[in-house]
Amino acid sequence: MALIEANDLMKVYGLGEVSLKALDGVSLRVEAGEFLVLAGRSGSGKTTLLNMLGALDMPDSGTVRIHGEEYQQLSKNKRALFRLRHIGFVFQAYNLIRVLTARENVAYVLELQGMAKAERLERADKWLEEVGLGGFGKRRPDQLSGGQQQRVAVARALAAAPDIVLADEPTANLDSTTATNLLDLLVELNQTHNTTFIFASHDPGVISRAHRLIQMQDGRVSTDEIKG
Amino acid sequence: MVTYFLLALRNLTRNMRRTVLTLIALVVAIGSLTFMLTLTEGYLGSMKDNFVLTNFGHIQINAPGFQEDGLIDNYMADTGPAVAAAQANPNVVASTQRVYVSGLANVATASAAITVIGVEPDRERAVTRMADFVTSGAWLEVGDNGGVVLGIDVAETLEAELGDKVVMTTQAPGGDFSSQVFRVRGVMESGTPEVDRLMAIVTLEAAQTWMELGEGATTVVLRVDNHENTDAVYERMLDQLDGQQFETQRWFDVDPFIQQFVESSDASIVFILAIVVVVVLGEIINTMFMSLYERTREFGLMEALGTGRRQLFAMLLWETTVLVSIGGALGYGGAAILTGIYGKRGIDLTAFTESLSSLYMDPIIHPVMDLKITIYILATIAITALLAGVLPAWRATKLNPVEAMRQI
Repeated sequence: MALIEANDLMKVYGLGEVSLKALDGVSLRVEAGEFLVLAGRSGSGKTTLLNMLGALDMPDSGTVRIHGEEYQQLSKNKRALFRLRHIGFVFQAYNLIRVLTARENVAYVLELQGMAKAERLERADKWLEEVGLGGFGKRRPDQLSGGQQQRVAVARALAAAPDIVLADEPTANLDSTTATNLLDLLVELNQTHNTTFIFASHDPGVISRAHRLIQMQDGRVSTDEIKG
Repeated sequence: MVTYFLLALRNLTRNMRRTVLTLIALVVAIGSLTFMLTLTEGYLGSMKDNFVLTNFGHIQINAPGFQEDGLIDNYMADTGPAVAAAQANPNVVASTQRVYVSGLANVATASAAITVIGVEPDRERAVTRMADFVTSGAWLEVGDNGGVVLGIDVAETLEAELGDKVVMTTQAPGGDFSSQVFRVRGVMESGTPEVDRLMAIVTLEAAQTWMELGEGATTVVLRVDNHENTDAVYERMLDQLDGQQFETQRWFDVDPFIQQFVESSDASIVFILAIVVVVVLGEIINTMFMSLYERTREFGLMEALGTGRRQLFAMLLWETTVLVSIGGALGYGGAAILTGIYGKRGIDLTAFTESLSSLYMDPIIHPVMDLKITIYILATIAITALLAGVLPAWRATKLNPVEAMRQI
């Protein structure tokens, strides 16, 4: 069984009298451990697809199964729990809760999972160490650089031991050196922890690291290639 | 739970200026409300005390109909059962008998309408403050059956001074007029017009002899240990005494004005309370919505990360609760300190003495903090926090994480 099975996903956004097909019959299978990039121009549907795979948005029709479990029938609350159990997120910006320290941000999802305080703080410290931010745990987001904030977001996503990490334009707000360092880290984590990463990005740096590249156009998959 | 509390505290410090302004509004509203309640409690309490202790007592027992007609024919020939029932009641601090009769006081050059009151001088001291109102001369001694204490206005009308003779004429039972000569032993000033303009106080024994009442009296007056027990004592008296012989009335049955004033004050307090709640509510809801809109992205992020609706709701509610609790505690605390200071010192309203005394109010008001006020304020804080928190919290739970994270 594939980790993710998306079948015939449709999503139409109404913009006044005009409607826009964001997804037009997308089907997709993702296996565990993949490092997959959804690429395409703005408006091609890659972020919409990512949101569907992450149970953040609902398709108008079609199904998404993660570990064989469909989330479309779940209530809003249960979908939140579903995300908590299966999915980690790294967004483009504003990734962290501003009033919490780096350590508390990482520990936040662990608390949602019901982990005891001592254990979650220990795990948060371990993951901050892993992403190269040992010693930065007590800093608040505004005391960290953009790259460091993204690393904290990566630590938070992975600390919860999700099946999949979804990253939407994770390098868009970073300078090229910081972006390269972050991507190196993500590739390494993919290899060492066998975590599945799915990116939505049009950054050539991200695309070049992809093991599998899916090009999106007008809400459809135009190409799907394994790069090895 | 700890994280939500922590988040609430830290989020409140995000926009310190707004939080401080909201807190100031809360402190001023809750503080002034609390102080106003303690002030009201102080003057209403003093009004009730003054009314009861000036001359009325908490409860009066008369022959049926006496309160209405005031006729001396309507006296109680045997007050024994009423006195015994009063003395047996643990909530009755003291009781005394009186004779009330209307009459006329004359000196060579003037006359004045009076209400003669025959009192037990020693027992009266334990029931009312009448003896304390004597401003010149002295209160009656037990057995001083030739002495009278006049209300100050009566004394002034008669131009009577201490030691002067006053002829007092009343109607005895049966309708015969009867006169007696008394010497002025004292002059009293209660500040209450009804007392100062009419009273001529003699001993019970003198009145009984004068009116030929034997051991009878028109009234038995009871002082209860506190206002709250008045109803319980009243009910007990009704149970114990024969309604054919005795009519029992509470102070507010006889003169409902003060009680109505107290009740209308209670109603206006509830009204003011409601206004304060609405104003404070508006202020806090506004603050919380501003905060909600500023953090829409963050709420979207939290939802995306797996924060459930209940958790989001609780977080926002915590934030409001913390804000209202801090403001409420500071406001209540400030008012409690002011009450402590002015409770001892008093707030001087002597400039309004004339109008205050007719309402049995002391010219110096001592604010009083009691459990009822604390409960009022706690309830106000809790209701405000709940109402102000629910709407923004509910809105937060309705956010769509994708749309929320798109917001700038």
